[in-house]
Amino acid sequence: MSALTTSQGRTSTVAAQSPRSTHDGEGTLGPIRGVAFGRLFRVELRKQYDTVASRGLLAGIAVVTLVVFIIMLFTNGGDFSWMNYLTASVTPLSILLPIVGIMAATSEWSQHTAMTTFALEPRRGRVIWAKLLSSLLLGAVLFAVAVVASAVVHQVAISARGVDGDWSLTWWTVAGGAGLLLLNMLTGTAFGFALLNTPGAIVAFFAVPLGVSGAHALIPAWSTFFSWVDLNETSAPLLAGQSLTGGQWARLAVTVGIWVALPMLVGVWRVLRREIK
Amino acid sequence: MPVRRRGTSASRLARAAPGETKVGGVEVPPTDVPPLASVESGDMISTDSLTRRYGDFTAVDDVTFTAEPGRVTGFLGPNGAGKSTTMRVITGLTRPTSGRATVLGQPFRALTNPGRHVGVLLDASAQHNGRTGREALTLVALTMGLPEARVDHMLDVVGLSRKESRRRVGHYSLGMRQRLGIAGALLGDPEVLILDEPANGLDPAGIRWMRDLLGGFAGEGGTVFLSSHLLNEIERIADDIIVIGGGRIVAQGTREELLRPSGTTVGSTDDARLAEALRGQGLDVQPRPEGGLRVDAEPVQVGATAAEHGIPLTDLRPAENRGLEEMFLTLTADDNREKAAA
Repeated sequence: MSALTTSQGRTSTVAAQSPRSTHDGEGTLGPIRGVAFGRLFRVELRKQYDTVASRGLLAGIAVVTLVVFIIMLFTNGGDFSWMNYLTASVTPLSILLPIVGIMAATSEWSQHTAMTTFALEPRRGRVIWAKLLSSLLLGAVLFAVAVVASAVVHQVAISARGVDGDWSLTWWTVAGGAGLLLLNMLTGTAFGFALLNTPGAIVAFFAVPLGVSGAHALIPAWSTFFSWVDLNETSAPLLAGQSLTGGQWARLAVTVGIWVALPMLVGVWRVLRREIK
Repeated sequence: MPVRRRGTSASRLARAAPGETKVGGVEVPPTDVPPLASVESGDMISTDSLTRRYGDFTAVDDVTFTAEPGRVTGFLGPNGAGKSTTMRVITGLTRPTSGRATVLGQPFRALTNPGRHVGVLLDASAQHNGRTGREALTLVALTMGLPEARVDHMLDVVGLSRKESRRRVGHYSLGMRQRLGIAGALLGDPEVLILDEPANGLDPAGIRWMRDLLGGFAGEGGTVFLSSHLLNEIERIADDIIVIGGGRIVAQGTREELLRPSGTTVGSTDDARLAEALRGQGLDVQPRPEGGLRVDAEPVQVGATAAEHGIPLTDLRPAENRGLEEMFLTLTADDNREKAAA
C-alpha cells in the first residue's frame, strides 16, 4: 500500500482503495440496466432544489408569501376568505417559481454540467422531458402547499382575529390558479431552453411579456391585435375564479402558442442539436 | 476480462475499418450488440477517419486510432490541437462532420447506461458551483442507479474527506475538482476511462497519485484514454502515445516505439581515433559539442569497437531521444506563431 500525503494535506491510499475493487464477480453494483426515466425524473427534480441559488429562491418565495399573509391578517381585521388567501399566495409563486424552471433548463449550460448530464444519458430528449415534467411537478406540489398554507392562515384569522369563516372555494379557483402556475413554469422552462443562458432567460421571461403589455397600453389602436398576443391579459382570467369564455380560451391558446410553444420548439431543437462544451 | 495486446501502430492504423459492429461476420444493428461484444474484438475506443469542421476551420482532421484494454493511451498535443474536440465526438457530445467513433464497439449514444461502461471527465471545472461535491456525485449515482454508499467509497478512493465533500464546489481548488471529477468518472465502475487533461491543477504528489490510480486501473484490465499538452506527463503515464497537431495525428505508437533511443553517446580517452574506427565500420559518427561522440548504433556495438581498438571508454550510454520532443516543440511553436499572427 502506498500512502502519500499531498501538499494539500490529503492522504491518498492508492493500493488499498482500488478504483475497480468492486468490479470482480459481477460486482456489488449489480447488473447494468438502462437509465430508467423515473431515475432521470428524480435526478432532474432534485437538481431544482439542491443548489444554493434554487434554495435561496424557494426560501425567498416562502418569505414573500409569509409577508403577504401577515399583511392580510392585519388588514381589514384579517377578514378575507380562504379563496382570497389562496389567490394572494399563488401570485408571488407564479411570478418567482418559474425562475426555478428557467434555471433547470439553463444551468446545465451556464454551469457546464451538461457535459456530465449528457455523458450519462446521451438521449437528450429524455433529459428534456425529465426537466419539463419535474418542473411541472414542483409547481403542482408547491401549489398544493399554497392551498394548505392559505387554509391554515384562514383558520388563524378565524381563531385569532375572530373573522367569520368563508371556506367556499370554487373548482375554478383551484384549477385556474394551478393552471396559471403551471403555465408560467412551462413558459420559464421554454425561455430557458430557447436561450440556454440563465440571466438572459430570466430577463426575457419578465421583460418580454411586460414589453408586450406596455405596448398594448401605449397603442390603443392595435388593441385587438394585442388582445391576441398579450399573455398577461389572456392568462389573467385564470385567476378570476370562473370558467373562461370561448373567446378567452381562443386568445389564451394563441398567446400560449406564441410565448410557450414557439420558444419551447426552438429550445428543444437547440438542445438536441447543440454541441456540448 | 481478457487483456490482449494487439498490433503495432502501423497495423492498428490499417485495421481501423468500417464494420466494427460486425459480430462473427454478421452485421448487427448497433442497439442489439451486447455492450461487451467488442472486448472480443479488442478495441475499447476506436475512431475511423474522424473529422470535425467549424466553417473553414478543421478542428479534427481524419483522425484514426484505437485505445486498447489494459493500456493507458495518451493523447498528446499542444492546446488547440483538437484533443478535446476528438474526446467530445467520442463521447457523443459533438457530432462529427464525417467519420465515426465507437466505444466498446458501439457509438457512445447506443450504450446502455453509458456511465456504467465509460467514465468520462472532459472538464473538471464543469461542475455546478452552487452544489456540494457530495451532491454532485449523488446525482451521478442516482442517474446510474447506484447506492449512496458508492459515493462514500469513491470519495475515499480519490482522497476527498467527508468535510470537504460537504463544501460547495465553488470553493474547491482545481486539484479538488479534478479529484471530484475522477470520482464521478469511476463511480459506475467502468471498463473505459476518457479523461481530458486530468493532471491539470494537481500538485506533483497529486500527479503521482493520478498516475498510480490510472496505472492500477489499466493494470486490472481497464482502458484509459487521457489527454495532455505536456510531453513529460504523457511520457510517464502512457503505454501508447498518439500525438496530434493541427487536428491531424502526426505520430502514434507505443511509448517504447516513440521514445526508443536511436543511438549511443560515447566518450573516450581518444575520441578522434574512436571516431575513425567507428566510421571504418560504416557508422554515422557526430562529435558532440559538449565533448564525446554521438554514434548511430547500439551501445554494445560501440563498446565492442572500442575494445577491439583498445581505446579506454570514459562514457557509454544510449543517446537521449529528442525526436518526440523535437516534433512536439515544432507543433507547439507552430501553434504559438499562429496565435502571435492572430
